[in-house]
Amino acid sequence: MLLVAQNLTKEYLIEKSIFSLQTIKVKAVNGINFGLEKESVLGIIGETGSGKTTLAKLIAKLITPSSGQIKYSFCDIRKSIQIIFQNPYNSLNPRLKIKTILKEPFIIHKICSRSEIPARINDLLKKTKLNDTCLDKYPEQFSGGQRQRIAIARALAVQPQILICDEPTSSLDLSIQAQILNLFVCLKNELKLCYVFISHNLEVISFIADKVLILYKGVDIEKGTKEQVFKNPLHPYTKILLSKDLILQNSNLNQTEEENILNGCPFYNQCRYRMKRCFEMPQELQPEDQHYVKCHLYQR
Amino acid sequence: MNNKKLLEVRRLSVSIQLEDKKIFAVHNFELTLNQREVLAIIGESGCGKTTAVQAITGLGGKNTTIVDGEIILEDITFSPQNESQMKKIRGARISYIFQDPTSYLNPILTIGEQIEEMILAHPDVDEKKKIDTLHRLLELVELKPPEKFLWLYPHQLSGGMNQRAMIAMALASNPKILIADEPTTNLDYITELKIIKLLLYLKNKFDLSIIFITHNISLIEKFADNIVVMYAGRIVEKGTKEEVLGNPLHPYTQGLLDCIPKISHNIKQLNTITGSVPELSSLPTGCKFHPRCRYVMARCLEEEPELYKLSETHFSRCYLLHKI
Repeated sequence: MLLVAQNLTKEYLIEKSIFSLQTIKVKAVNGINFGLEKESVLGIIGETGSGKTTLAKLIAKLITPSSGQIKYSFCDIRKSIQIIFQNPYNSLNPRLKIKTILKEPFIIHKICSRSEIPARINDLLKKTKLNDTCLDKYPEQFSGGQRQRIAIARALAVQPQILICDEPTSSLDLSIQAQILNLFVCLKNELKLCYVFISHNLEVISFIADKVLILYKGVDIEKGTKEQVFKNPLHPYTKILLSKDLILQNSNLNQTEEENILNGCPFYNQCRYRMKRCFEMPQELQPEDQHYVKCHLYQR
Repeated sequence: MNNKKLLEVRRLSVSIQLEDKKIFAVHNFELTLNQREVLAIIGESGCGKTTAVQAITGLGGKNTTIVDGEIILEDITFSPQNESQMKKIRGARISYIFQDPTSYLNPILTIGEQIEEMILAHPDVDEKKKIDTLHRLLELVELKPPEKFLWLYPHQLSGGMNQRAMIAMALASNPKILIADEPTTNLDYITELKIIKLLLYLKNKFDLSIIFITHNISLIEKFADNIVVMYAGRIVEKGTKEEVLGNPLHPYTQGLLDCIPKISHNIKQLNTITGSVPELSSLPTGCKFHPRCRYVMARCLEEEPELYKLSETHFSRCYLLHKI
């Protein structure tokens, strides 16, 4: 195990309105447990606002959890964990040449002597299949796919063990997305990397991940191996995600009907199986080996 | 199913004036739309999907010129260059739903005021029944109770609800055709399904035809009837959903479908299309797809292929289909 997260929770205080002194506690990430194995890919599926990015930040230790903890098997977290962001148009400094962008991590982390840097950069370009003519250009001269390659090259400079990819292909076109996904697979095999791959695209996760974690409003409602989750989804939410038909199971999905339940099942309002018990947060159940679900339906 | 032809677009070509040069964004675009049909236009960004449908409604920007083409709507021929003619059909016959509802709704007007504006803009709606119409529209798009939603501002609604308000505005003029330009791109999966379900419900209720622009192919599998595939401003393939997705004949369509990972398949590497979509200002010679095509022949470099007819409905623009 590279890292183990136990009961990970992050709360934010949100002011009700500009002038009120009342604040509401919002649990962006709510009691998540998972482990990350060496050379594996953990796929995290979730909608906007489900806490995917908060979880990524927690893993990279950019923010500290409100409760719970992450145990790392390595010391230098900054160097061992790198993040690749969704939008390569914002994550690269537009005023710096690619040469400078790729040089920075070597200098900041004091990885090698200055004379060695050009050789290292060339090596990075080769790995990400970029041409070395790009070094004297600025980010704006590249397409989205190539910028993402540059961002990947920069992340690989410090030889990380874990790469957190926060929707790295969602702003790319289909043909470019496939190219970048293939690059991720190549790099993983070549450099023995471990990915935390965040996406809302089920197809992308099914391609790249070994294990899948489904996040809904900050709760890890289902997790298991890729085969388990995609072939035998348990949670009603996962079932809707994977169903081929358009027909929603609950026909009266009306926004105005929503009940605000604070500590209950996060999926209560959308669920067609909802019952009284769902006002309590379901415990994590394990209907089969390695396959976990948080839903009262599977309570014996 | 009623198969009455509703809209036909012929030889539509659109050019865009950039700072220093003129580019042809859409070339010889043709399309027929029947009543109650859902037509999906797919392709990567920069393929001219949006430019083409905006030209149909006359919504192109200042720099856009419609070079050629005619639009036949309910047996009446319009010339898209003629702005006063276009005004008659825009809104009244064809409504447009944009991709990003939050940037198209006015933030300082309530939802009710904005829909009211649309109702009043079209004289065939009875002014006395304005409030009734308003309530009915909001109820149709499931913003219930309407009395409450009338008074809300766009920032008080979620993305999905804003999109519903946009749909209500589009319906205000009682259109025949709804053009939805990536209406669900910024929405979550469940919200997306709800919006699609709403569009289908409205289609059946009012006999609407829908032109749906997207690059989400799994969505098309769920509800489109016919598909048009665009590349570099041209139609490269068109046909029914079964024909295009089941038996894609243009190398671009094949490549595009191959690019999408399949949940049921366990594969190590995806097939990709090498390279990227060409800039419209520097299009290659001959077939516009030839630099990325794995079957490229000498002929492809010289001359652009025509749309070959493969069945009554299936067309594809590729020399591979040329019968000797």
